[in-house]
Amino acid sequence: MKQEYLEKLKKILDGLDMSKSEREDILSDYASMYEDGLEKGMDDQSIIEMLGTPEAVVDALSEEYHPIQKKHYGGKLIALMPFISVIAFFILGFGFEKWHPGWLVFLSIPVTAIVVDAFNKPYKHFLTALSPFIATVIFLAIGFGLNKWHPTWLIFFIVPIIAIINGIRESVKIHGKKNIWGELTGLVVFLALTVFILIGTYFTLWNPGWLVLLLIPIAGMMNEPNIKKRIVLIASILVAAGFYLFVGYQLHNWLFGLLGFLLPLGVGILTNNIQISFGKGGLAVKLTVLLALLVYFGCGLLWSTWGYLWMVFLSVPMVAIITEKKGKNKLVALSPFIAVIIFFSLGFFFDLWTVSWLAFLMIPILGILSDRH
Amino acid sequence: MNSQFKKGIIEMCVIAVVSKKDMYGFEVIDKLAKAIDVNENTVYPILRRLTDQGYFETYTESTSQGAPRKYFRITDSGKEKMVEYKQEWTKFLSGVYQIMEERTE
Repeated sequence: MKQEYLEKLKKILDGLDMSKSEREDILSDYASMYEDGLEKGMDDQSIIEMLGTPEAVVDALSEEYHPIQKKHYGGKLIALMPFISVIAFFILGFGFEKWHPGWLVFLSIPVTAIVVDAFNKPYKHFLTALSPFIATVIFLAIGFGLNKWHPTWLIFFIVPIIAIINGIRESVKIHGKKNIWGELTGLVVFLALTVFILIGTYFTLWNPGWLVLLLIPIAGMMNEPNIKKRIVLIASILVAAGFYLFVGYQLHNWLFGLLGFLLPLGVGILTNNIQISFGKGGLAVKLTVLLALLVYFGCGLLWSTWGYLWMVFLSVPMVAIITEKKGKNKLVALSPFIAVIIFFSLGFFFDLWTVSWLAFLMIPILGILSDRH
Repeated sequence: MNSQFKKGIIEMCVIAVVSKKDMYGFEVIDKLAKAIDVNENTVYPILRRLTDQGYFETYTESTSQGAPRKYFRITDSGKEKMVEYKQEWTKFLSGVYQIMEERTE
């Protein structure tokens, strides 16, 4: 096991920019530390946990110790990609009269940069860095192949989902399994939204399908350290949801059913889990939440706009960004939400899914324009 | 806790343990892991960096069991760094205590 560990470490260290003596010194140190662990009576598993896997060792070394750096691969390929794309575009255009969809070859420029960047990232960030590429390929393939632009755009959620999972794994490694509900709540946001949009799209169950979004506050409440409080809070939400469904389906009065949610609201205020305060910027966000709820349920109940107006909830993070971020970063942070609104509106009202996905290109474009480097 | 902040504390602890007695790599990691919640695989890179920055020097000593061991010894500049860290840390902690006490009053 020791030999295997050292050989793997050597193989990875060979891929880094460093002198031969430095590499041999590090290997000799790890051989010695491994031996010290064995002498202390530790088993191989515990030693590797203590020293770190070869991948983690190399990540930590290249982050902390600057004389060694990962080799940067693929720089020439990124530089050549614009020329290759132009040549390919002209061949497709002049040779085969395929100007459209031939222009898509230009997408290979950012895609190459993303893939090359992923291979140059520390091992632990590889999948996160590659996820925009995977999402784009799947989105375009299903979009062009099956004309299912909606709801295939949900595949872009894998980008934050993979980043959050990576964050949870890191957090578990450092702090153990405690306090991971904060990160898990972030994960539940995207999963609940996906389920909500899918059941809304395929079963036209926008209402009461939105109840699935209640998983977000439920996951958030798992952070509550007091177990009794936690049970009461979660139970109050479930009772409210049950009341809403009963009144909605039995008495056909969804608006009246909403009154049930006064129960978790009251419980939240009584247990101090909902605090009404008017801090800097917080007031605007709270008012937006209130307005979004009013607009969504008001319009939904009056004109059945459940399938479109769910986007009013995007105004909540947007207002938070507007009140808290500064300068050019504001527009970059807002761009994913603006892109989703343009994409979904054009698709939903004019059935322009084939074209509207181009709105997502504004995200990397704004990102590049605002990059000071 | 912020990971950069934690790294700074680990660095200070590494200098502190080596300033008390010369130590080999495994010994430093073991000592820190027993005392604080630390991601062990970050300790060796910090040891290596501090050596590169001149705060530690290394020498080898033969062992009865096998290959000679590399020991880390604090240098004069390492001792100065330790004093600097100690002053910063004491000032920081007294500020934190002051704030905590103000809150409870």
